[in-house]
Amino acid sequence: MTVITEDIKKEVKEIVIDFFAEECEIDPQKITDATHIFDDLDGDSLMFLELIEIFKKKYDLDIELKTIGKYSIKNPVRTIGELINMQLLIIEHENNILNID
Amino acid sequence: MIVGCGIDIEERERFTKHLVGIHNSEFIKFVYTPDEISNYKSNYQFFIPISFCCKEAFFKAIGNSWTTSPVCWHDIELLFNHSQDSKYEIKLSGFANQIYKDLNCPRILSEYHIDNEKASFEVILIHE
Repeated sequence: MTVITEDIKKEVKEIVIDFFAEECEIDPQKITDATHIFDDLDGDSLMFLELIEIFKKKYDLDIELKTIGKYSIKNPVRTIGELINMQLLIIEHENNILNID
Repeated sequence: MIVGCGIDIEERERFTKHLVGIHNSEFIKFVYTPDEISNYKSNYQFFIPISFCCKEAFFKAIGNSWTTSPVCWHDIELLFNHSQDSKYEIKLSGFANQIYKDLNCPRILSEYHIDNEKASFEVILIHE
């Protein structure tokens, strides 16, 4: 289990915002926690999957995509803030994410 | 009466990195069934993006996605009959099939387009 530090929080936020800024060709300054991934950015499933892959490689995470799929059903991600929080939980708990309250 | 409609368009380039070492790619295994991977082996670059668009378009047509419901990518299979040029079949299973049945099994109208840059798929569910 990884301890989430302020540095990790900052880094995850930067990665998420930079990723969507590049993919969606939008000024990163315009992306906030409240930005809606699908309505505001035209984000899609492929971006979602690619971002998860980036984090899996960067943090050497032991988590399967199907686990994230199951987690997402109960905890739908719609905004950048929700996505950042989910990524932090994935980094912290990896495959145990389904067992957290 | 149209009971569902979905369309998806993707840049083919976005799939290229997943095609390197395709048999070890978690993304490929997560999205495509073994039957699909086998069915596409003659031209992954062509079939993989079309199939992704098909699944995504079907998710939209039934109003459910893998992040918001038990429906999963493997529930929707796109299989080509390579002996009959451009003929294909959409096979449903699992939760996607359950939703399809709940909609009283509408007719599935579908069409794909692909060029050098993009692939797209359109699904219309209709009761006639």
